[in-house]
Amino acid sequence: MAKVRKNKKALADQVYSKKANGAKQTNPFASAKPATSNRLNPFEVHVNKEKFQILGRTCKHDKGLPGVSRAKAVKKRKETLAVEYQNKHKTNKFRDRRIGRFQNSDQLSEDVINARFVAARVEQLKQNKASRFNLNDDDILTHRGQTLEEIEHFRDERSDDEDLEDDKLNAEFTGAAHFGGDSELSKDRQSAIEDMIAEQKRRKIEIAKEKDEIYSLTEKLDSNYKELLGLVDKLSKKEMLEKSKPDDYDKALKEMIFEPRGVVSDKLLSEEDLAKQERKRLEELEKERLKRMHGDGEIVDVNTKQTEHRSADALDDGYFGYSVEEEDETLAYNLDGELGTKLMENVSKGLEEESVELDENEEENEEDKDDENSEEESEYENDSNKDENDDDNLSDLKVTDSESETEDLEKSVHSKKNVHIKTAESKNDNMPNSYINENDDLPYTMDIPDNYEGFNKLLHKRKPEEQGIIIERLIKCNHPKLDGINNRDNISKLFDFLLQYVNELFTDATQDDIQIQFKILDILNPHMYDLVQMIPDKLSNTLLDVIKEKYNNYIKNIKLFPPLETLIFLKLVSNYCSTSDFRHAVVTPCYIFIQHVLSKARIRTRQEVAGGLFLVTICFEFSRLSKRFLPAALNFLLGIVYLSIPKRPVEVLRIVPPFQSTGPMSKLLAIAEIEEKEILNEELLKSDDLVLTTFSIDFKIRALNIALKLIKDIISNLEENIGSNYLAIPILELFDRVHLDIYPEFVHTNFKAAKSVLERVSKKKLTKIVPPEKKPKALRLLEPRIEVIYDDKRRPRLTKDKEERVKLVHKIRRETKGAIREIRRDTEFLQKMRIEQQIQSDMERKEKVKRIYQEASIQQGELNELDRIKKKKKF
Amino acid sequence: MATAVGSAATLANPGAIRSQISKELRTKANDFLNSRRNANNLLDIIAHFQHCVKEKQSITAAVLTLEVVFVEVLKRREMCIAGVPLKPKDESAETKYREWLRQRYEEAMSLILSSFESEKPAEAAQALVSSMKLLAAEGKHPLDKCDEPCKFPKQRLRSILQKLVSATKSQSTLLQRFKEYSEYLDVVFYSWKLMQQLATRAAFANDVFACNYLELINVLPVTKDLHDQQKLLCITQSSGESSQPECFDYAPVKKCINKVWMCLMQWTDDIQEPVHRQMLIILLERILPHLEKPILLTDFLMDSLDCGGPVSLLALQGIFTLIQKHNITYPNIYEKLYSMFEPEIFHTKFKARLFYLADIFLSSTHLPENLVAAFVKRLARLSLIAPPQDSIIILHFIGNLILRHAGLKRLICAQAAIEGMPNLLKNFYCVYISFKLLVSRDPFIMEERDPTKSNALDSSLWEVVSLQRHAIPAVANAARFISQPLPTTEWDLSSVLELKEDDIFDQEIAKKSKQYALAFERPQSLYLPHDDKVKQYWKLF
Repeated sequence: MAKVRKNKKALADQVYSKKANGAKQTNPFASAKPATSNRLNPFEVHVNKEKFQILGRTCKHDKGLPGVSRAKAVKKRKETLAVEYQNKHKTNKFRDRRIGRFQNSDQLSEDVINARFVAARVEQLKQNKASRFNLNDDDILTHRGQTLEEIEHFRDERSDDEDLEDDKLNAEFTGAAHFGGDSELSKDRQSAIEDMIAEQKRRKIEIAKEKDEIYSLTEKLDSNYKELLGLVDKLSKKEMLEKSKPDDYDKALKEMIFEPRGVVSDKLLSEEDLAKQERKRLEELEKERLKRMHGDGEIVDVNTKQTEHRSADALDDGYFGYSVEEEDETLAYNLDGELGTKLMENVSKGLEEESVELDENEEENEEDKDDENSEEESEYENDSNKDENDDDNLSDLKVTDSESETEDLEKSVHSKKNVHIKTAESKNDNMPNSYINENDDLPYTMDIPDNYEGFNKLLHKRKPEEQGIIIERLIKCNHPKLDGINNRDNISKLFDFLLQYVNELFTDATQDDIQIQFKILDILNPHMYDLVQMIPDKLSNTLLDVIKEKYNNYIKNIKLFPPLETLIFLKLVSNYCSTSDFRHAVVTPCYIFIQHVLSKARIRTRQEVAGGLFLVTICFEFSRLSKRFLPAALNFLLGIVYLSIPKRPVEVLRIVPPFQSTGPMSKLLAIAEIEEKEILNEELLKSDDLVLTTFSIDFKIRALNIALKLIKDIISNLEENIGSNYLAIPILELFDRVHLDIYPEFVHTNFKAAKSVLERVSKKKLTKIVPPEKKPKALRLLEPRIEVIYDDKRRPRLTKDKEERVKLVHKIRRETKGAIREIRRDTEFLQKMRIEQQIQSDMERKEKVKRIYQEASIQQGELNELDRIKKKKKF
Repeated sequence: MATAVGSAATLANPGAIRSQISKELRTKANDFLNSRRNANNLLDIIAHFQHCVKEKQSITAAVLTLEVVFVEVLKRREMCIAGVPLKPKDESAETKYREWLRQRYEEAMSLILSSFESEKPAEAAQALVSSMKLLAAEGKHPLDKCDEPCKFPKQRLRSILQKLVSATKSQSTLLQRFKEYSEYLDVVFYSWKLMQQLATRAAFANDVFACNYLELINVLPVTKDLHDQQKLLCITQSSGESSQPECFDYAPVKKCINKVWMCLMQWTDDIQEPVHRQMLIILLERILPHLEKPILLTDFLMDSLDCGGPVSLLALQGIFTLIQKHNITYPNIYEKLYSMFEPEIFHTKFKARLFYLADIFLSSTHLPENLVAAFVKRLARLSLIAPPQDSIIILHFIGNLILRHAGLKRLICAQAAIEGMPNLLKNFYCVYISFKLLVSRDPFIMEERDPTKSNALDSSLWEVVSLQRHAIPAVANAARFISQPLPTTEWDLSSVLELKEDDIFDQEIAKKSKQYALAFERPQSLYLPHDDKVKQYWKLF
């Protein structure tokens, strides 16, 4: 039957399409119609406004056709709901089978069916007058309220077959059983049913058997296919499972596989590249240094001042805590047109760490690229570096050898001790004359001793060079790169020891050994520098602690000049720290310390004068790049000149403390006439001067000479400073009082040089202070500032399960909503339909009543007619 | 007995012996107090005291024992001799005993007083405390007239005070101890009454005496509190009496103070500098409010003003008070103040006081601008050689002065005249001005004594600009104010006045900038790779 229907349907479709085609061809307006239908009627279109256009999202519901979709929905309901509604409470259906009534369904011929269809159509046309002349075959055939087309979409032929055969009784049987069509079926009902059941069972078994067969066949096919696959790939399952015994090669291979791979590194750099890199690094560091030097808001020259790029969102509303400086600097040209000189890098620790990583090779390069070196020098240095390098390689090898040895040595974690500086008891053993003269017995690997005594034992009675080697090896063996935390502790311990060692070297140093102590320090210094570079923060802090301790010792009696070792530590600060910074955690306290000593401590002995000059020198070294000045240092130099002036008892020159304006202390450095002034050569200050207390004539001359040189250099260093003339004038006034005649020739030259600088500075023209010109305030360029990170935190983050659940709940809610809406629409539709039916039936009834009345009135009329006729007849 | 004790002392260790001695002394004292039969014990104690003094041993125990004994004796009134005038003394044993007891009392007292000059401050202090306790006991239970208990033992106090103003030894620690008694109205009252008799012109010429005397004045302040509280050391039963025998009014004390000070004023001809300074301090802090005619001080203060240094500073403060409260006029006071700003001032203790005073003197906005400008310039010059903490004070001070006197802005803003001119004129004027802005040297004359003639207004504050490159960042930051728009409120000077070098050091340490920037050039030796200054001037090895 289904087949028949299908055919019918196909036929109908064909006819329809033919008709449509025909219409298209014949109708002259055919071409106009699709155009209008394509172009939507604007009154029928509803546009959903879109608030934000979101990239990457396709919007389905931007416009809709409410009329069309409503019509669609109504139509669908008509086909489904309305049909259902009309069939409600109706178990039977009247089917007119009068045509071909005596035939079985098998025997039905095409003609009979066609006749039935025509009859049905006629019946339909009778009912629906509107479609009587509709040539288009409007009604689409349906099955259970759905069009056949739709059904065909989802149709599965086979399963349908099974279904059909499965559930339904044989039509022949049914026909016979129900309608008693078969006349020869005279058996009683009981046996008939039994027959039917038996038949049914048999069929079921047959079907099951068939299915099994098919299943087993498919299985077989599958397995065959698998075998075939194995043949094709030449890899059977067995072969796959079977493992060949691994041989050495395999083992090696596996090991290599599981070994950590080498990290991808930059290619080996050539000498040139290294030099370039090094130069770049130095330039960057220098730039950073300059930035720090200018410090927090120091008046920056107009040239170097940068206008910071600001975005519109960076208005000064104070909402954003971070400053604009944190943003990347802009690229800018300077006045000379060089690119990138003002590209300031953010200060990064990484650079410093990098500098730690630099091995000796790079240091070599650092020297190589030193422009100022003459060729010979550089050659010489290369040689020496080669030596160094050889040495290094050796020790490096040794280190790697020893690593395995030292690994099993349990490394005791020592409680970190503060550098408690004390004078060594074993000072006398440290006499320079009694060196141990065995270079060979220096072990290549050393552990850092647990305590200072051990460390002292390691170094004492060694030659300075050997001490250097020992320290170098200690550093190599305990480099933080080798074993993170332990060695960091070790390094800081080593630094503590070294500081204490230096302290001991210089406490109670005498005239005999002071030079040797300085030589030792000279050798230790680079190593200590390396140490500080390894752990900058911690070791700088240690150094600061030492300075603090020294300062606390000093302020117990501020009149007393601090001992020599304090001065040495200040020099170390100058070696390790970036002294030109505007504010530096270590250097600034040192400045204050120096200032305090120079302005308060009494000057009475040779070593105090020399110590003061040493402090002035260090202070000058601190400030040579930043061109800052310390009034106390200049005052001290002034005092040295003052002390060199012989004064008559009544004459009082004014001088600021700590120098005294009267008494014997006011002419400490004054000398009388000397005979051998021609013999004396110009000399620098000596280390002896720092330990001796008695004055000698040559020291007095030296001190004045160096003071003059310092004055010259410091003042010329400060020449740019607008107030430098104020600093120069008091010195210049005092210069007139110096009795120059008695001094040797070199003092004269230095004096003249200093004087000329001072005069030049003091005659400098001054410009009155004018406030910096106010620039017209530019309007801000408004530009959106794009928030890089947008973290919406309205909803707390959930676990995966909960997330899923929330999603489902949301879906359910939406579906429920949709379902409720559908139901509402359905009821609405049904109501409407019901009311229409009501109205229709009312109309019919009225019509009928009318007709009845009409008929009745006709009857009445006729009756009346008859009556009248009767009366007439009576008359 | 005493020798026995002494010999015992040599044997065992001193601590045990001391406790043993004091125990022994205590038992002796108890025995003595328990019955008169043991009267000789008192002699023993006194002898031991003398022995101790001679041998320079600890006298604390002996002093304490004597104190206990005599306080008890005074309470019992065992020393009272009811002498009736015109009647021969009765020769009874009782009277004799009493007289003997009184002699011992005087003896003990003189011994205690003599130990005021003991070398050990603790012993001297103990002696003072004991003598004052005895004084109090004597005041409550007078020696002579039993019927008049409220008599203050003036003579006793006098002898104590005489010892305190020793001419040989500075008694400052003892006087500090004596200060504890200055809360008793009667002690202060009678001390002031006796004060004038204590000193003579000849004695005052002695420095030590003068210092002690002035210190004594210092520790006996007459304040309103004292009179309000009415705390008395000696007299307790006065409430029981119908008429208060003595009233400690302010008026007589004031009279005494005036008298004492008038005397002192006459002796000031050739006093030493420290005494002079001390005198001024006491005058300012203690005496001045009590004087009836402070105007009379003017001469003294003016003479002091010319002395220079801290003395003149203190005198200045005195004159300031006179000007403020007593309406004197003093010519050239600003010149005096001006002359006080010398480089040496930073090394005296009175620096903070000077800045404080100068701040007050210059707080008037009606002062002529050239005068204030001279101060500003002079301070600026000084800031170039001052220690950092003083530079900071000066810089804040200068800022305040510029804030007070708007006209001084020309010191930091030479162009002010141009603004508000038409454009064309301005352009011409700018050329002219820029020519005029260039000066060959600072017009300000530092050496000029008269601030109004120092041309300060034509100058500019180059000193402050150059201080912006001070090595110590705190100073450099403080100097930055002139390149920024001036604030509307003044800087608070009091917060920086008491700063010291080590404070600045601690401040820097406390800054705790986490960044330790390092030198980036590796030294090959003791010296820096480039431009090592130590290498240039020193040959260390």
